[in-house]
Amino acid sequence: MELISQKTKEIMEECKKRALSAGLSFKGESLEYIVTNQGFLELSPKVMIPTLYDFWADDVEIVRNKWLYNVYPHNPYETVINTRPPMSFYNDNNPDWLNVMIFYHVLGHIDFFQNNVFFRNTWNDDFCGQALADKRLINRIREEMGDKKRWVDYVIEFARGIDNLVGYYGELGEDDKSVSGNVLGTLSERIRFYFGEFLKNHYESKTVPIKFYYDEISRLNLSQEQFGQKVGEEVFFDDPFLKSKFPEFKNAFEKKDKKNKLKPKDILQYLVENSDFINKDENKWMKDILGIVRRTSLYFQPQIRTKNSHEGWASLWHERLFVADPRIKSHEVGFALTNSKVVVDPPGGIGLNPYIGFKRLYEFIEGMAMKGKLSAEYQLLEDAEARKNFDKKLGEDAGKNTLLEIRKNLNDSMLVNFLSDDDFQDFVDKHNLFVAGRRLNPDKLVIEIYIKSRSGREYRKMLNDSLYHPPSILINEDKSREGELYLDHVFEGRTLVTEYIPAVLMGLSYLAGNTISLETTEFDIEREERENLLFDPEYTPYYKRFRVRYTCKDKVIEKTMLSADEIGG
Amino acid sequence: MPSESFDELLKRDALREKDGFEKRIKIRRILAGPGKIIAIPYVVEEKLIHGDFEPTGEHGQDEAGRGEGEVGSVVAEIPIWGDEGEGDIDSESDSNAGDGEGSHGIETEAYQLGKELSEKLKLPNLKDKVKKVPTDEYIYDLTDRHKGSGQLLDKKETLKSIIKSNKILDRLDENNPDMTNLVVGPQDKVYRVLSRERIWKSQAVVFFLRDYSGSMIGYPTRAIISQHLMLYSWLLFQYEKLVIPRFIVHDTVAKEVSVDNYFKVASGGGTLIPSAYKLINQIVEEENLTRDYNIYVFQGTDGDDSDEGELAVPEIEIILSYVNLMGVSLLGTPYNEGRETEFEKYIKIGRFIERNNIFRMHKMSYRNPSDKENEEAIKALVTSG
Repeated sequence: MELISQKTKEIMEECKKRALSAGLSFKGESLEYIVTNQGFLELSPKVMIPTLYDFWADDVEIVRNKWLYNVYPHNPYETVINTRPPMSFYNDNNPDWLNVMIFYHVLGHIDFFQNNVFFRNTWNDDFCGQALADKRLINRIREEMGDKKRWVDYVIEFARGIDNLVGYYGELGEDDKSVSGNVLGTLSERIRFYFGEFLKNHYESKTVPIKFYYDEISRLNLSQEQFGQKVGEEVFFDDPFLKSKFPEFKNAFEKKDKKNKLKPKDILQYLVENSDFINKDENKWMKDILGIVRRTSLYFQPQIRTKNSHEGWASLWHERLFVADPRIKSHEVGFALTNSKVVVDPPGGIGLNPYIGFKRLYEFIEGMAMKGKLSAEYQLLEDAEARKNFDKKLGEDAGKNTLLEIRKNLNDSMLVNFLSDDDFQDFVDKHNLFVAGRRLNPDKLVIEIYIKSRSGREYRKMLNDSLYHPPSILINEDKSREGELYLDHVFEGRTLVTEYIPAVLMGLSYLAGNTISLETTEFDIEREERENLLFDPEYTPYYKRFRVRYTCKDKVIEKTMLSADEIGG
Repeated sequence: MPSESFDELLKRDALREKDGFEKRIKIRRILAGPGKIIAIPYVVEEKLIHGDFEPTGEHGQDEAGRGEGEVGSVVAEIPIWGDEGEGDIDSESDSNAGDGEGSHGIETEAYQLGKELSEKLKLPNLKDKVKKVPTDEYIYDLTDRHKGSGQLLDKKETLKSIIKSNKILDRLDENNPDMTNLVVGPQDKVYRVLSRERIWKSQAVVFFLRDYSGSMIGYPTRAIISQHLMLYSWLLFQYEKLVIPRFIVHDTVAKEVSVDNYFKVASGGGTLIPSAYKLINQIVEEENLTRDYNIYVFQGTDGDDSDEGELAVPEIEIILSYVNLMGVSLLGTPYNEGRETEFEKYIKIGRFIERNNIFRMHKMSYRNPSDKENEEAIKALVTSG
């Protein structure tokens, strides 16, 4: 791995100037490295972070990549990582014109990393440096463990079994509170608790009428208008009437506040804080491992949740910037060829390539903004002809500003759900999109892919279903017995991969040093019913749904049925 | 560089059992072109994640599409097995399979797998029946591209190069391209190079034979494919890569197919196993294979047959007269569980089981077999009991 040549760096710097003047925004230096194909194969299991800690499963993937590469050699174009400064990796055999195109794509990614609010927890640190420190720490622990060093890898493995359940939004929320506290500055925790929980409970238990709730809001507003925000709040809670009516409020709030502050945001953090086993002197090294695994996972969470928008955004900008760049002269064919392999629908038009699918979505929203269609006036229009001809001619700047704003504030899910149903239908119609279903043709013994729907709602639902959504698994202290860790899978219509459950519970049980229970939902469906579903996807099968509990105690897994429903048919 | 070599990783994996955990490194065989397979190691990191199949059909069953057509119309068809990235034929095997590009070293990997399987399962070594024959053959080396001269014109690359050159020379109007106006320089011609190499002619022929009738859909077919790929690897090791595989599928009629089709083709009809035996005997006789080759026959079936042995037994007798080994994987299906199949009945009639040195059969129940169970199956087939 070496830095790109001075000549290539000049190309990048010219790209940066043009990208900045076009409206993208990124700060400081960037590092560009030349990496061989073999180097790419070795970096990819480490999600391209060269300093990430070593783990044997990643090594197996490197071997796999190399063996596969022998059969299917390929040249990756680029990879960029969200570090400070941002680092990107390139092949050494790209011609200059291709580098211009690739650099623009990379700058699109860097702009997204540095401006999309879902990355804000990564803005203040250099993860590459952090990962290096973590890697050294793990290596030191391995050295200290001597012959038992493989147990370090077992602990990494157990922790990685639940690293997709890290409290990303909880962490983001913490940050939100401190940021929005300054911006909005209206609701303190005490006010939130008083109106959001305390009075609500009283109202529900019919000890106060709804009128009292509204009167209290008026009293707070008056108090804050008169004395300002902070003092007004103090005056409001110092009110003798409130104190005499609810003498328990102060204690209730303090208790709640303390509990909130202490509440772990995910299972990994819970284990670090509460596992007697991990907190034994001889096992305290495990806390470091769990912390590293958790930190690493948190770093990647925004990337997982924006991967489609990211690629759509970078593709949009590499096209626009390169086509307008004089350096494309005489390389139009090369660009067209390369671009048509990247920004292209999958073969047969089946499947979603975010490079083009999400680029189209950005462009569609931009087009609407230019015509003033992202307005109440347009949204209230019902006449199809009037909607079609609506054009306030707000110009390119309005389009670009909207693009930059949605890049700043939306992740994949929010982008998919940004447009109204009518507008999304227009998007689906414009690009000839459809929801594709699969069914078995018993005569030809083939699986047919057919056009199931051209409805915008259905298409959006399909997109939503395809987005990243880890299961919601919560710690349920109320159900916990004798120190066990009781996990409750909140069933959102999707079951867990049951074959993985025993291994994960076994690992968690080791880390907790205690019994682990996991409550989840499963289905049982007859083979015949499955086959009916295969032949006709619209068929309503008969099946049983169970609420079950897996328990891992002393390395033994037991499954208990808690309840059962019979559905469909 | 990985921090540990593959050997070290395998040793680490073996230690897991000692520590009370299951092994994690698995090997998947993927099809990498006609007659070529590779083995790749992989690890599935087990996590609490959402599953794919939901009976409600509400999540993740549909996919995105784009193009013309009415609602309800079919836009594509895919074979019932293969292409799905499931089982032993990985989706990675489909891209570029058969293009030939970068096909070096593939069999080395299969050979390595065969070696590992031999060592791991303590499979027996085989003895040659005939001498090896050296021969010169042309190797079509696709990685060498020469500009200006060569033996085989690469039309696609040449056309690309011509367009590029003419674009630079401003001779190509994008809006109104006139192909007669293009100039073609000598350097625009891109050639691929054939090189002469001496190789050893294969010394073993192995017939892979599977029932592709409707009753074999699903696990049974996947199990056979997995086992046959492993057997092919084992023979590659045994015969120092000098193995010619022949692939035969049958329902009521047997036909020889390409490797690609062997792993993908499906039928829906009934079953007549002797049709396949007859075809093998015909091929062996017409091509006089018994003179130069060690011959192996490996069969996968669910035992369902419309023949009761009248046709099959004599054909098997002929096969057993020339093969080094015939191994049959008898797969359980929902239709044959708990009963003796027609195949088992006539195998008894012919008393073939008693000829353990050349005929072996392994029976499996109906379920998704693990790698280990498939390995056990091939061990049973190639190890004399």
